[in-house]
Amino acid sequence: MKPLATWQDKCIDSQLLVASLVGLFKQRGMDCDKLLRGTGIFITDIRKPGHYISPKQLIKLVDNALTMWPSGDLGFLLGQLWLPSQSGVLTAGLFCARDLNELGRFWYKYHWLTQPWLQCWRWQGDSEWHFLLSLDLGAERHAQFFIELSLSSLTASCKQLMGRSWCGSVRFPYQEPSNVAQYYKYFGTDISFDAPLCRVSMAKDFMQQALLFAAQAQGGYQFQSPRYALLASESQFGLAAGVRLCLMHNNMSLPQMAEKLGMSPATLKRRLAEMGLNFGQLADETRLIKALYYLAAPQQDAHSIATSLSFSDASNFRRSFKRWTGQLPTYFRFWLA
Amino acid sequence: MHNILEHPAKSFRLAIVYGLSLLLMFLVPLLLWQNTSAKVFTQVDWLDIAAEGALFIMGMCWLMVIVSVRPSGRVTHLLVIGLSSYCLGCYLDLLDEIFIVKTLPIYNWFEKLPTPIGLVILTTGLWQWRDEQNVVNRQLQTREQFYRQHQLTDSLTLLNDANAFEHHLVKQLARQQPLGLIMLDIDYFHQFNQLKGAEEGDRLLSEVAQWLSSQLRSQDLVCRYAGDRFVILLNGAIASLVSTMAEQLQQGMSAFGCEACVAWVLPSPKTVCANQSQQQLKGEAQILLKSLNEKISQQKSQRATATVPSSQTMAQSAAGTLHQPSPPIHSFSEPR
Repeated sequence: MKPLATWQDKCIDSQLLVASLVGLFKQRGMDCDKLLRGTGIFITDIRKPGHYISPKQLIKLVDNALTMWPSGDLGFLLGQLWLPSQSGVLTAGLFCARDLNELGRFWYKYHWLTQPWLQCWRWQGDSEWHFLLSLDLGAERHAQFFIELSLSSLTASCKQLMGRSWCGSVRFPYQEPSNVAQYYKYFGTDISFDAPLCRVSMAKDFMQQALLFAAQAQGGYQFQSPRYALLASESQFGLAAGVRLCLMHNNMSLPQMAEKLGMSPATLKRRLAEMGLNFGQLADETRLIKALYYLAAPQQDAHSIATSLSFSDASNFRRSFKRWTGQLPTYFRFWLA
Repeated sequence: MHNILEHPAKSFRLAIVYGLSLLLMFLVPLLLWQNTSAKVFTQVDWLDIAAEGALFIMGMCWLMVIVSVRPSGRVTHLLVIGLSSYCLGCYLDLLDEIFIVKTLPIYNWFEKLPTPIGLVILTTGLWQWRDEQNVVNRQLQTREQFYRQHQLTDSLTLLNDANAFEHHLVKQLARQQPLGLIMLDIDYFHQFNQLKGAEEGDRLLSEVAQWLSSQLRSQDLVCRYAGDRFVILLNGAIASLVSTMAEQLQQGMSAFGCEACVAWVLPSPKTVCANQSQQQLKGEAQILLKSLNEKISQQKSQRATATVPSSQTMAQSAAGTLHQPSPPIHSFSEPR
C-alpha cells in the first residue's frame, strides 16, 4: 500500500479544479489575488504541468472562494465544467465508455487523479445501483460544496455523454440548504435531505443505456495514461479514506491502525485532527455503512448484525444506530434495497 | 463587474468634492491662527470636541457614501451640496472649541450659517429623491415588485433569486388572489456554454433576463431560479392568460437562437384557504415550486429522447478535443 496522503502532502493537481475555479473568477471579473490570498498558491504556477497543491491549500482556497462568491451556485457551476476541463487524464476513457456501468467502474478506479477528495462505495440493489459518497482529505469542512461539486459533475457528464438529462435520486447528509433551487435544477426533483450519508441511486437500466461515443472506443489506449499516472502518483488514498478502507475489512482500534500505517497513535491522532477528524468518527461511519449493507441484505436481524459489527448485543447496536442516524435500524431497512 | 466609479465624470466630481473639503480644512484654521489666539490647554472642553468631531466625521462618511454610489443628476447635486455644507458647519463648530472666535464679528456669522442652510438643501434633495425613487420603483416593477432586498439579487442577471421569489409567492398566496406561475428552462444551455464559451453563456443569460422582464405586465415578476431556469409570477391571472403567456415566451426564445422548456401551474383557489400561518403558506409555496420543477424535468426527459440525433452532433462537437470537428449544431442558430 502506498503512503496515505495527509493534510500537507502535495497531491492535488492544480491544473484541474484550481485552474477552473480561478478561470471562473477571472471570467466574472472578480479579484483573483484576493481569491489566492493565504493559500500559498501562485497564479503563475497553476497551469504548470506537474504542479500539485496540498489539501490544506485547497481547503483554504475553497474557504476564500465561498466567502467571495456572491450566490449559492459555485459548486454547481464548477461541476458543469468538470468534463473535459477538470477530468484530466480520465477524459479519453470517459468518452469511450460503453455505458454508465463501465464509466462508473473506470471512474472508480482512477478518480484519485481528478477528485481525490471523494471516496465512493458501491452497492447493488434489486433494480438500482447505490453509491455512497464519503469525503476525504479534510473536505468535510466544506461537505456541502464538495458534494454539490461532485454530483453536479456527474449530472453534467451524463448529459454530455448520453444526450439526455440524468435521472436518479440523491439523499444529502445535511439539512435543506438555502440554495435548494439549484438542487432541483441540477439534480432533479427526487432529492431529500437529513440523510445519515450521501447516497446516489441510479436505475440499472438507466446505467445500461449506450453512451453516444461507445462505438468509437478502440484499442484501449485510453486506459494507458490514467494507469501510468496512478502508478506514478505518490499515494492513492487520503488518510481518512485509507483508514475507512482498513476498518471496512476488519475492526481495529486506534493503536492497531497506527501500527498498520507505521506511525505512532499520537501521530495518527494528530494527522486526523489536522483534517478536522477523529478516529471515533471514522470508525462510526464505517460501522454505519456496514450496518446499512447488512440491513439491506435479506435474512438479517438486529442480533446477527450486532454480532457481525462486534457489538455485545442487539440493544447496544440499536442504541448506537440511533445515535448515528437519529432513527432505529428498521427505518433504514430498504435504504439500500 | 460594473463599478460606478469608473466613469470619468464621476471621478472628477469626487476629486472636486474632496479637494474643496481638504482646502477648507487647511485654510480656515490657518486664517484663525493668524487672526486670533488659541485657547489655553485647560480651557478646552474635550468632551465637546469628541462629540462635535464625531458629528463631523459621520457627516463626511455619509458624503462619501452618497458621492461614491449615486448616479449624477440634480438630486445627487442637492444631496452632495447639502451634506457638504452641513459638514462644513460641523467643522467650524469644532474649530471654535480650540480658537477664541468671539472677537471676530464676520466670522461669527460665517460660522452659524452653513449648518441650517445645508440641512435645508439636504431636505429638498431628499424630497426630490423620494419622487425619483418612485420612478425607479416603477421601472423595476417586473423585477422586484416593491420588495427590495439587494442581498437576494443574482449578480449575473440582476434579477431576484429563488429565495426572493419564494418570499413574493408567499406574500401573494397570503393575499388570496388568483395567480399563475411559469417556469422557463433553456434547452441545451450546457452545450451552448461548451461550444461558445462561458462568457457567451453568461451574456445569453443576462439578455434573456432583460427580455423576460420587459415582456411582462407591470404587476408580474420574473426571478432567476437557478442556472438557466427562470420563474415568473403572474398576479391576478386566469388559465387562458397563463397558457398564452407561456406559449408566447417559448416562441419568443427563438429570437435568441435557442429553445426552451416552459411549464406553468395555476394553483386552484381550493388549495389556499383562509387564515393560514406563515409556515403553512411557505410549505404551499415550496410544493408549488416543486411541482413546476417536476413538470420541467419531465419535459426535459421527453425532449431528450425525441432529439437524440441532433444532440449527438452537439455532444460530438463538444468533445472536439477527441474527435474531428463536426458541423455546428442546429439548435443554436444565429440570433435574429
